[in-house]
Amino acid sequence: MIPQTVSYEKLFPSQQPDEKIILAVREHWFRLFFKVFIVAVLSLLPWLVRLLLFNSDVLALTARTDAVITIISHLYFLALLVGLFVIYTLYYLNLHIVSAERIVDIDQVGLLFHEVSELNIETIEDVTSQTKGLIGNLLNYGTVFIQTAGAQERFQFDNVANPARIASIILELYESHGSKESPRP
Amino acid sequence: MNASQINNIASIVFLVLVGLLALVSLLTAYVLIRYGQKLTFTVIISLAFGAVFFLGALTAFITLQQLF
Repeated sequence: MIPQTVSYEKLFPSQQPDEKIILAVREHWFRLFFKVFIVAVLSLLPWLVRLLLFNSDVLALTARTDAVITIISHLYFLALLVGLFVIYTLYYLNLHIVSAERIVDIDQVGLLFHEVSELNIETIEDVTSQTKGLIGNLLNYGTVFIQTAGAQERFQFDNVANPARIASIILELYESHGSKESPRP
Repeated sequence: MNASQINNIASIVFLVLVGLLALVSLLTAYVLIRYGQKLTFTVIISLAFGAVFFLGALTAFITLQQLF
């Protein structure tokens, strides 16, 4: 059974006014959480450096040295803040959409590379879901591969939640689309 | 090298680095607003980030001025 449609008004440039969106998925939240966690760990570095300097005789910590470390720390935190913003932007802009008619893969690879690929449901040949690793199996996220007819490279939904469910929804759509195209006599 | 020269060099290095970070931030905000699905949401996120970045840069600059 196909789930209820997602109530997004317009998700991709070529979306038709009557085109219903069945699924709109992003990377699993854990992947975002992990990246934010890395940034959080890196933000502890200035305190660690300060602690090491205070407890050793490598550098005599005068008021001026302390202020210089503070300035460098400020710049470092600003860089981490920008890093967080970039991480969130890439997470938000990478979107995989399944509508009743087609599959749209919106990829934002870095800040200067934006790609929108579309695929008609009827050209699907094979859908594979893959869950790898301990965390992937525990939190149920993985990759969905969609193979099309012809020499076109396969579509890939990386690290999405519930890949088996997504694969089955796409197959159901393909089957329902096929039965619409060629009604039984 | 006297204190005034050190102050000038430190300020220039600081401004260049903050400028580069601001450039990356502006590019990110542009990409987010340009390709984002919900305009209001992306604008609010960008403005919130911009405000935090501006305050952080200002605090660092004031610290730098007090240093020399």
